[in-house]
Amino acid sequence: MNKRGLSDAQKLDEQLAAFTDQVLSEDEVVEMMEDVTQQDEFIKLQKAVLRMKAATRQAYPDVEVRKRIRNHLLAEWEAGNKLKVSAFKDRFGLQKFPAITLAGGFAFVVLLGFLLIFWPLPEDMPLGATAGDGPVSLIPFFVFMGVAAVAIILWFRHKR
Amino acid sequence: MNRPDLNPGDLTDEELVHFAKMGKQDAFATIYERFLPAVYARVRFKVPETDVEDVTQEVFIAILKSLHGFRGQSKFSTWIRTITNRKIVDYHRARVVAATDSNDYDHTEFGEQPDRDEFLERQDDLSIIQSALSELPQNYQDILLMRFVDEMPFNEIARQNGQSIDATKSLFRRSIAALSEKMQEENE
Repeated sequence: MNKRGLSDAQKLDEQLAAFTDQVLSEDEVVEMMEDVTQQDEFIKLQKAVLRMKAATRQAYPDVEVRKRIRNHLLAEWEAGNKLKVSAFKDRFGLQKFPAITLAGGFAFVVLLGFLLIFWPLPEDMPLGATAGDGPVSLIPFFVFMGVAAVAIILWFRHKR
Repeated sequence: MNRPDLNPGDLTDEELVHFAKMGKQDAFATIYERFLPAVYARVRFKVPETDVEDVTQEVFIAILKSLHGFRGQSKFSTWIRTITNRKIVDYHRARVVAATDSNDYDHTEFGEQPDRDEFLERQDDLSIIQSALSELPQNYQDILLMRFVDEMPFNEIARQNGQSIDATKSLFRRSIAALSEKMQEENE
């Protein structure tokens, strides 16, 4: 391919791209462009672009198809949501014993709070306690339990 | 989405995904309305008419089920196109298996003869182009569907394909020329 041939091909690339951009940006029929140097080839390509655009418009779904697929998808959406709620309830046994589960959870939280607030520190426990040199307070244990409980709740919420 | 003045149609794709992940059904419905034409048309150019609706439906069910896995590493439209292409490949793979199982495979050229006959009977532009397109090399099909069906501008196609804009326009011109030749053959 000589230098002139290459530049003609590039020119054709640009012209066809510009024509396609114009065709796709407008809803009305676009007039074909003219190029005296390579008219036959360019006209043939422009016709193909116009046919491809028309075929694409024909390929879009009609109203009935849109509705049918939409209804089916929304049913899938609802089914998916029900399944998630059901799995959550099964995991906690809420479906079988909802009152017992809720009361148990509430009692656990109250007990945890009570212990954290009122659990007495051992009298001989040094204020600057270090590992191995005195009785160990249970407060860090309950703090840990509280954090773990919050983490578990957050994890289940995330899973939902 | 809870604000009364916020119209789902005004949101970006990524914002809609965010709300759909939170369980907002109208966000997912808007995603569906926004992408259905391109997904359906892409499927229609690649799959026989009788199965287009089923495959399109499968694409959207796959989107629904894997929406939580979308992390925004690519554009949402690219992600949807990938799922669509995967479902089209799955469809053709299943047909190969079915044809092999029923021993029809030996008597017909898969993906060409039965569909092609059906298309030619209808003799409209869509069927001729469907048939012509299916005979083009894969990269020609891809660029034509990206420009016409997805309406991606040339610079975006170039970016996605990792090519220069000049190379992309050149590929496009060669693809259109090949399509034109095939359509001419179909008409003869």
